Amino acid sequence: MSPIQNAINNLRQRIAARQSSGNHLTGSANLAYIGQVRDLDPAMDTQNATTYVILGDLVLMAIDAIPNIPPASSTGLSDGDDYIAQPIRPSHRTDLSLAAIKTKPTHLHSIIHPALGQHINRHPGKRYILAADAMCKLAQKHRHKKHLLICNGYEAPEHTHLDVYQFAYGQLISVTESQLHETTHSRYVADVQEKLAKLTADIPDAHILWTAPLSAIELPSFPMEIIGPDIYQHKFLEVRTDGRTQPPSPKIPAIATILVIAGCTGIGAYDLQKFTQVRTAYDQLSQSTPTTDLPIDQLRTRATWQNALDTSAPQTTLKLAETLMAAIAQHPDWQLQSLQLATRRAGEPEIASANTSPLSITLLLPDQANQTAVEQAYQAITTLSSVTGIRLTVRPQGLSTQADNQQSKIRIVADMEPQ
Amino acid sequence: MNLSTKAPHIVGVLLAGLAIITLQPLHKEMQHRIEQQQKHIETRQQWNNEYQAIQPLQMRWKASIPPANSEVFADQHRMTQHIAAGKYQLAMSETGITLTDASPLTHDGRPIGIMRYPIGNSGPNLVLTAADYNTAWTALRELQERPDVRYTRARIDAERGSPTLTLENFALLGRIEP
Repeated sequence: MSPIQNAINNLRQRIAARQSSGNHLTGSANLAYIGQVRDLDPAMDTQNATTYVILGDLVLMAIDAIPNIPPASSTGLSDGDDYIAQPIRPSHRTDLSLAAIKTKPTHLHSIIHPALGQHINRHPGKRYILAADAMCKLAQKHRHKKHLLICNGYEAPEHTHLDVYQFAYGQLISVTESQLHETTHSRYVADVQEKLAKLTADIPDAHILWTAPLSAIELPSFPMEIIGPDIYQHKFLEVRTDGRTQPPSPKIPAIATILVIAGCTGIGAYDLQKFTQVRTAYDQLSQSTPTTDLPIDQLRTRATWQNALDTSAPQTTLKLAETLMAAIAQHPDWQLQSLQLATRRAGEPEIASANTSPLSITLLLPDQANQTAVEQAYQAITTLSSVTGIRLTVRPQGLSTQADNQQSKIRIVADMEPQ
Repeated sequence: MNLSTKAPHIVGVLLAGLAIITLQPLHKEMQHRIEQQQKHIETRQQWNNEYQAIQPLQMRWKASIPPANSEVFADQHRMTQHIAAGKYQLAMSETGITLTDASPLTHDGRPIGIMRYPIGNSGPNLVLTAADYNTAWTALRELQERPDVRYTRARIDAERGSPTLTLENFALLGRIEP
């Protein structure tokens, strides 16, 4: 296929596309393009779009400078009608790549036609966005490319407005606006080719994107990627009519972020402070008391053992023994031969013993001839018991008689009844 | 609005999110640790109180019971000296003294840090001789007050000659202190 045939095919395709759309405002159901003053009112009357993309003659752009306003003679504007400045867009990369650091930050300044401002004010509830924002966003997808050219523009019936945005590593470095012949004109393809040739003279390896609403075009010498109208389906800054040039500050999210971080930090600091406080309290408590070599439960057992010792029977048994001894001493002819006390106390090993009585005595008394030994023993023990209040019983086989210095004596072994 | 104007928002939201995500478990962990530490303080306070209550007893023990590893229990002679029969005007036969292996004392099945050193001059019993009955009785009363000696029964026999004081299953005590 020869280049000429190619161009003819292109032309046919574009004429067909124009006819099928039926209007010079092209786009999907909720999207429409406004590229010249003439579009403004008919656009609103015929379109039900919710989002309008502003481009072409209605926007003037410059990088890091205020755009040149064309002389009043060419625009037909009166003195009171001034172009409306738009918020300045940072068109540089904000990521931390090496390319972003190396490139100088740039800002896109733009102004819109006063007629558009009036139009916007007359039609509240509609969204108006700048095509340039979509271009900058699109460029971010290709930010790894050293040279990127994005062709955007507006096809008016009498001429074509072509904007070529040049990016380096995702950063906007220039915008070239130009007027070409209308797309149906035979010169149109040549115009585009001439324009691209000029722009790629220094950057032959540039990647070229051809974006909606420009109709697709095929140029064998300039391979390019065709981008549909989907690029406008994002949230972009709306066109302003108040002339403010400051981009909307991210104050609310910033304040919210600061509050959240401050809150978190506050809670964290509080936790840390509380923890330190508790820790210090514990350390002080630890230091205020002496340390022990023994585990506390052993000390506890010791204490209970000692308590049991202090309150256990032997002391009272000693007292009982003394009472008993005093009572026996009242009878001069009685003789206490042996006294046995249980002194086993808590914690002592249990040692088997025949005698479990707390108190035992061996008593020797003179044998009275007129009474039996049993009677005498019974009498003596009863007397002792009643005097002392200690219940004594004669041990089985605990009674015997013996001769001592020619005198017969009765030997009684008696036990205190366990209480 | 292009990506570059959105970036601060995204970074802010990310930072805030990051702060919440990282600090939330940290906060929980800190709360947990604070709670634990407070429990420790409580336990320690109880421990301290108990320790303070036990302290006088410990002092008493330290004053009255010799350490198990001290020289008191090194040999028969020193153990005999430690009994100090003479202090109570009692005579003690040093012939036929038998020492049995020491064993720890327990209370309710738990050790109390006390070793028992059995010593006897008549089998497991210790027989002491007094000049008269009163001396024997006074000695018994005094021995009953000693925290470092233990015997299961005491017997005073005045059947013939000098009265004897027999302390059954006699043992000296030594405290185990690490």
